[in-house]
Amino acid sequence: MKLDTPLVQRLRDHLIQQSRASFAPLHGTSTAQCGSEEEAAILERFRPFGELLFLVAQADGQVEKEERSLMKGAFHVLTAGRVRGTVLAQLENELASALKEHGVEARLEAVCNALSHNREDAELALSLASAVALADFKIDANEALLISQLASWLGIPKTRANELLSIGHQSIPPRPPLG
Amino acid sequence: MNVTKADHIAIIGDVHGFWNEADNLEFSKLGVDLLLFVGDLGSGTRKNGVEMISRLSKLRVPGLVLPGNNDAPHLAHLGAEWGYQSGKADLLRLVGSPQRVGIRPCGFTAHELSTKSGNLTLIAARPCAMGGGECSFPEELSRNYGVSSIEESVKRLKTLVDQSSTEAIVFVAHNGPYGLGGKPRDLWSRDFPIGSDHDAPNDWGDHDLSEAIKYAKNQGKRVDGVIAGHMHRGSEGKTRPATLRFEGTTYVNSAVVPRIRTHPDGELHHFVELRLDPGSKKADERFMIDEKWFNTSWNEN
Repeated sequence: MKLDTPLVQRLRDHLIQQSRASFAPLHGTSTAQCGSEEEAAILERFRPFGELLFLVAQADGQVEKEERSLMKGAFHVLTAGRVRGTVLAQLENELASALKEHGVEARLEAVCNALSHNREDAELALSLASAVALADFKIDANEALLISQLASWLGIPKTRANELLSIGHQSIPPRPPLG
Repeated sequence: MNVTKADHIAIIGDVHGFWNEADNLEFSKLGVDLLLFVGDLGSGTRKNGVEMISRLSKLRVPGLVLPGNNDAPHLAHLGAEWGYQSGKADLLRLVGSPQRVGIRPCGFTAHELSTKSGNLTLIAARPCAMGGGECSFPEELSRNYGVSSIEESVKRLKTLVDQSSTEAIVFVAHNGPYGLGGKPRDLWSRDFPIGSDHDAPNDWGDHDLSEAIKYAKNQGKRVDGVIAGHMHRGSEGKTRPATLRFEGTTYVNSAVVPRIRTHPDGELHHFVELRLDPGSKKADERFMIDEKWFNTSWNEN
């Protein structure tokens, strides 16, 4: 499976760029109050994506700076910027504890199982995981193998996985304005 | 404030779980500029409400969603799903799949709309309103909008009126305003019993909304329309009209439930069409409104 594609590069660059943006709410929405039901719901929705990205990032033993930036960008985008960036650090600590307790295989199986129930979620997760693997601008054999395995665990056929990661040569259309 | 083109608007009354892929496809075929959802998205469960947000997020035309009272208990999870879906749509656009435009939440917000007849301000009123003179779900409103009483709501709505730069205003709300009557056929009269409370009002409209309308008019604004739902039409053998013209304002109750019905020709999907552009035979009315059903092959009846 080819991972160093224009699409994955674009996704990586975009998410790293997003991580540098201020953590202001996107789309004109309000920030969820610290410890509120809203914040908990947003974290619950993001958690499987966050865990998958974390597991891919630490596959070689540690989470590199670029990988953390990419996770931060994904967090910002998929939570509409409604949750403070510091919460991501707390989430990472929780995920590290779960990894230590259960092991990487068990956590990958659990998170892929959770994401595989929705085809769109699964496909987005695979694209984001590929971007994390490419975060340091190179893909080694272990990372390629891991992404290939992830596709399988997420229930994405190989042909579809290749299609997902290779499309995307069009220009970026702007978001339609809506006041 | 961004200005949204909105000559042609489709108003979607209480959804209550009745929204499917045919809606996403057909509304883009119809060429509407904007979809306005007056709330009550799900069937009552959190799962269904979240599912509705997920489906609406695949819209190919812009949509504004005002939460209804049925959405209130699940507001946190609906907001989380909306945030996730919005982010996903951004990423899909990034990688070359621009079709998905999706929805945005509204409530205590103002949106300037451009039409061929001039600009107007759409003011989205208090979310989760359910009438009866009370401020429903004050905790949820406080956390999400910083408002927890009718008085605070009136203040916020008046501020939005003051900030509007257009002469024309249209309000969108979940429940309609107080003051339009309490008889069974009136647009927002109470259609359910309240135990032994014989003093309960029959006019179930919301006071903050009626205050805001009155205030806007007193400030020299032209309130072209007030769009809402909540009080279902045609329930229990009673039928309310869809519209009422009163003191220069057109009031619209868009709540036909269920909005998708089976028919020998296929599934019928309800919406209320609002045209703000001149040029039709009804061009003397700036606010032209027509109630419609469509099936998947666009045979209107």
